[in-house]
Amino acid sequence: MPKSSSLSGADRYNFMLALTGYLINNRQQRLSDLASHFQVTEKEIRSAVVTISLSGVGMYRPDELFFLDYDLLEEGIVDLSFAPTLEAVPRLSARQAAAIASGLSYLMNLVDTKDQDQIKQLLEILGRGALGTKELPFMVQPTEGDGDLALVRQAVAESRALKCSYINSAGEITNREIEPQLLESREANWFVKGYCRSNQETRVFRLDRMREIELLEKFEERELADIESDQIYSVRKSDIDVLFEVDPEAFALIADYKPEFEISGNKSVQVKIPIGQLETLGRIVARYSGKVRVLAPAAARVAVRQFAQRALGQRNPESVAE
Amino acid sequence: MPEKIDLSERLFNLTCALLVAGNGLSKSEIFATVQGYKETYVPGGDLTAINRMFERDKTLLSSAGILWRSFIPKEAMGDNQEFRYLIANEDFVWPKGLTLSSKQVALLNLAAQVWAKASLSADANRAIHRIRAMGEKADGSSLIGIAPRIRTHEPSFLPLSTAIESCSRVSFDYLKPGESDFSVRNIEPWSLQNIGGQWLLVGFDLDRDEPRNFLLRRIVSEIDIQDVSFDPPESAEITKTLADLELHKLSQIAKLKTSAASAAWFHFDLAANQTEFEANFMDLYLFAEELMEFADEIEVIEPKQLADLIRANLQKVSDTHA
Repeated sequence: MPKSSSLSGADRYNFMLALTGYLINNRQQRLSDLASHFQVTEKEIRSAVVTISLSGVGMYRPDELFFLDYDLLEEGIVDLSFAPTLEAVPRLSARQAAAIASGLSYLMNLVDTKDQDQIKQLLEILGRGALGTKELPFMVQPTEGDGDLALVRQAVAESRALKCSYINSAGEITNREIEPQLLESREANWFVKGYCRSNQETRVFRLDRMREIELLEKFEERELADIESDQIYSVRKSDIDVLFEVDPEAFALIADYKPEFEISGNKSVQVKIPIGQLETLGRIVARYSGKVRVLAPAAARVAVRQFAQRALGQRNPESVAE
Repeated sequence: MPEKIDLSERLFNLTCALLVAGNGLSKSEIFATVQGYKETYVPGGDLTAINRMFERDKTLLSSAGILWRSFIPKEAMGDNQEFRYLIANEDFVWPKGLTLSSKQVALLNLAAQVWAKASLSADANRAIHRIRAMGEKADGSSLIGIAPRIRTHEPSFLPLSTAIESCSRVSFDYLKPGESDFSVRNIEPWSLQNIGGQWLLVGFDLDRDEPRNFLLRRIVSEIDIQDVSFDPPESAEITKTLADLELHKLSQIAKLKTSAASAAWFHFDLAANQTEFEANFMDLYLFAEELMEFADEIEVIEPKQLADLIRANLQKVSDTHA
């Protein structure tokens, strides 16, 4: 679906350059086709081509550099012709190329070997062709391959159910059949969203809590209730609002659990996050080693303290204090 | 009053003007003929504002990857020495003969989505507009249902990336774990690298006189970009620094023990009756954090530093929730 937001400034400039390059090679295009190809609104396309046609520079006056057929535009067809300029689409900037190359590299071990070859070719193009000799300013190193990850990706791509052994955050192990819909990542962790046949509801599973994954038969599409694509953890009515204080070094916690929260500056912030089971809180907070503090409610603070003390006792039984 | 021309239109007009002008344009020619400039240009008048606008636009063009050149024509040497500006077609377009398959476009689209709402998403989207302009439609049948995400929640990411692109020296405050005070670092920034979900700055430390790596999350000040430039490194130097880091990781081994059917046993993918295992780590403190969520079920056999660190972290968690 085309987005409704309108372009401005540097984004619109970039879009007009790209659109011009496209229209040179593709005369008489439908507005609707252009909108779906570029994923912008028809209004945006119309406004951009009018602007392009009115640009005039140097010896070319407006309407001489580019000629737009306004009669055809009335019928929803864009036909732009050109004086000899802007022969093609502009190459990518260093930052654009680095953003795309990093994304490709991150995908490397997620796709099948055929696609891996394509990615290698594309990285070559982005590294040299699009940029000349300049180095990319940033890059993501591919992570080590993971058999489970490849298997679940295959299941999602082929709409096949899977069987696995799963340990939940309370440490209970069950065998499950899952119809996986979506494979998502946060930092180094991967999550599988899907319909759990065992519980008969849509759930989120952490890939590193799965074992002995086997692919089963193809499953029928199901209407999934309220899965928002941007939220790994869906909020339930029974969740408890927990107030955290988070130091800058631990901002990843906020990005994981409350992505809509705007972080700015380099100071500790307080944020409320709904949590399903307080017993899981210790694990979440411990990871940040004191850089995340639970302020309220009291029961949540107790849960965190108990986790830490249980773990301390485990490694040093004789010195359980208090 | 002339109609107001917005930024995107002025940049577009400037780009076309510099592309079609075979011999380049002088500043006064640009001001007199390019829409967006000529409306406010008064020959012989005060040029402070329009000059500033031109300087800003040149920067915007460069950051969009539109490379302009400036030169003083030979015949004008010794004369008034006025610079002329142009955009060479070979700097502007993709390399000749480059085509993308529909599968490659699909991979590029997915690579752009990796940035989701992170700070690079605008650059990734602009890149995708240029890639779509090359005409091919995406075939993403085998990539449905994958939503990988890279994040850059460290506020230092964008300023460092800018400094790398312009080869500018930077300084910042860096807080090493286990130390109570930060130190000021003066660095020639080479590259940002994401390794296992962590962003690292690779650069040359001017005080220590050797290449060093810095974790972005340990930078505790704003990035001070200085007006001192340096020669960009050979790509072999960056590769070597990364290879050294990998060797360092391989040399750091922890011996760990857990119980079968624990979350740690799932996480580390241990065999059915395996409870002792080894793991490599890049950074002791990061690895301790990774192990914290399993602290109640993992025993560190060696190194002792790791065991001590986890115990100290747990104590901190316990103390902050007393």
